[in-house]
Amino acid sequence: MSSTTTATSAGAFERHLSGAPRSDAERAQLMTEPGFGTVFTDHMARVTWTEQGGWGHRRVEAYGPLQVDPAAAVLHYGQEIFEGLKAYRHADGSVWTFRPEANAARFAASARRLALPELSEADFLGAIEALVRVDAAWVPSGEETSLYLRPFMFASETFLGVRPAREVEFLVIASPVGPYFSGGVRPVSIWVDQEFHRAGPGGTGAAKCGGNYAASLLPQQAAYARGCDQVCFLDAVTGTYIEELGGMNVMLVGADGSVTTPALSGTILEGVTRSSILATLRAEGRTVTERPVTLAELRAGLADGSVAEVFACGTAAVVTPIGRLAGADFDLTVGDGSTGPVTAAIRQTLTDVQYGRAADPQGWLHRLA
Amino acid sequence: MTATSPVSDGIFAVHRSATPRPDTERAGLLVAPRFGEVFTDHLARITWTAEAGWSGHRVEPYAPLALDPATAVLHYGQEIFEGLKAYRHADGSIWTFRPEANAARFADSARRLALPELPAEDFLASIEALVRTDEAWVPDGADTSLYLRPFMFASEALLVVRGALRAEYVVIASPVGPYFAAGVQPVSIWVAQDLHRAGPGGTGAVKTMGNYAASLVSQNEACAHGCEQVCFLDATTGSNLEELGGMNLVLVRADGEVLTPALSGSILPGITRDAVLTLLRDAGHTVTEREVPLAETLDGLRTGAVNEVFACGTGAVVNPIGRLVGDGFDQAVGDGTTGPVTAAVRERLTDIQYGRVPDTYGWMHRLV
Repeated sequence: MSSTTTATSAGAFERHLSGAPRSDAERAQLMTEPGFGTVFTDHMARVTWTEQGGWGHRRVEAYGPLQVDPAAAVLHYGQEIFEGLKAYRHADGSVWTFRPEANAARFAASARRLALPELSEADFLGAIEALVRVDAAWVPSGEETSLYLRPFMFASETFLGVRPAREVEFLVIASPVGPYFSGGVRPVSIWVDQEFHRAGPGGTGAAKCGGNYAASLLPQQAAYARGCDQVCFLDAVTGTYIEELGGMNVMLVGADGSVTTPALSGTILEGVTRSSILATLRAEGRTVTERPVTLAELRAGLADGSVAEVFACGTAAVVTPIGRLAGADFDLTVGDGSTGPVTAAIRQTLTDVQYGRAADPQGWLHRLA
Repeated sequence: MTATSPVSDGIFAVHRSATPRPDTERAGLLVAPRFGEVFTDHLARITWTAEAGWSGHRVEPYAPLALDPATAVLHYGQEIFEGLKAYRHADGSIWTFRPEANAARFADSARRLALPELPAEDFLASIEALVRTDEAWVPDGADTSLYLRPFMFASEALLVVRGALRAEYVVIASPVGPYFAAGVQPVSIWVAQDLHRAGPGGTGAVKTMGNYAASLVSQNEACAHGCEQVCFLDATTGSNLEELGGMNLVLVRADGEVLTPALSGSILPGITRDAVLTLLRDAGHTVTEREVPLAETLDGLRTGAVNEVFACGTGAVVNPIGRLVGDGFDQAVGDGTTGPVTAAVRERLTDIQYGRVPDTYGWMHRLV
């Protein structure tokens, strides 16, 4: 396939299959208790961009180390973006993914903020399809398992000046995964960080790029040190509004059944799972409100019972109940600390669609294999 | 890249390249070197693991790093860096400038990014070992030097968001001329009024890639407006000057007072900034570090109360700013040429760095 081919499907990707794929037995072994993001499949999809030639050289090739020049821009100036989505095996053996067009659109938005070239939706979907078709045997079939797909793009040009790179690599790698938290799906504890922030106004918080996550690692360690699983960030300007967790959006369920979530402020990532949940809850007739939510209001609501459930949502953890919220001067249990009924129901509804156990009224699933 | 048998340079094992560039090729590359495009024959490297700490101190041939596609740095930006220069003096000796300050800032950056701290002695020894190995690459032309880029990144392959348990520290070196292609000339600055480089409680005060990544779109906007660099305003109020994409900003008032944005927590504490402020104080200027509103700056430029503005950093040293441009304004600085205070402090600083005057501050550190 020449580099001038307009990619409209996985067919635009050349296949350079691995000469040494893992054996069936080895793969089966690796897919037992896969953990999260530590085991990778035999191949990766790749497309290369240059300022002169644009996007070209679409291929699926053996998973292996990238030869990165020590002066490559990505190692110094962080010009990189990524996405996360999953491939689910249905009972009939078919393999599907969830709203990949939404990830493609967000990836393009991230590219604009990071001065990277936009990748077309056709190439984004084509790369995922091409990779999953080659590595279909790596899509697990156990409960709560899936093949996590990680598309990412980075500045590969060798150059130490601070300016956008003229050479860029786009890759998709894939990892068979179980639940994101090692304890499985159980209520987690959240540390509310009142010192550090993940993103500020006019920054990169609404884009999926390395810098946001890098900024969250120290607060994440503070969370671990206090026996919490994740950190929740407050807005950088006033330090009073709930924003999001290090990698997940957050939702509150009122005792009256209404659901409230922080509005997209420009510093919050627009989660695909978040928007799917809001749409599903609205379709069920539930009152859903997106607005600024203060920490003070949340604390008061937990104390007087007007906030009955809190949960986190994202591609990796899907819907995870939050059982405890702690900060420098508070430590509150959410409800009785167990998974609430609305949280459990929305998790069930969403995963039923993803795993093909229920109808897909919104047309969110996209068949891969 | 093949290497010869190692010899030791203190704690560093030196594996010399079996195929260094020949003298004639190197000489060609050292004529008018462009900034950060040519690299020497070697790099210095130390590996960290959570179990074993720092080990494997070595100098080896410059070559691509083999990175697993799932390496944390390619996804979550857990990386920090430094920038300093090696200067060749008239007697052939090679020196660097305040490397302990870079080592200390590197440790600060490591703490904020949940990376391991590299001991200052390892930081200095890595630079010494690399420059001793590649000393022929230190140019001797006016305004040239060997730019040194120590950096550290999370090298563990993982997709869960947490601090990595493995990191690589690497130093590379690039012979450089002036940072701006046109040489030391007054540059035009675009003031970004909607996007910000860093916010409160973020990573702006440390040297990590995410700050630079956030600045690239604004840098493009600057280029589109005919400007060389972008100046950021604070993220909270959008009204105070912070810094350029990779340099601090200093204003000189007509009454001789020197003004620079105070270290707010979202500004990088530049080592050149600190040196320049020290030199200006010692030259008799009143130096004030405080919030500097854009409105006050534009007003001062219009009335003549502010008559010089310059940028400072390791890359560009001291560079005059001739024009400030933004949405709704296009303001010359003085008559647009290099002002006397700017020129004098640049001269004073580079005289010390290049060994043309005695170093009364004890800032210089001999490498070779």
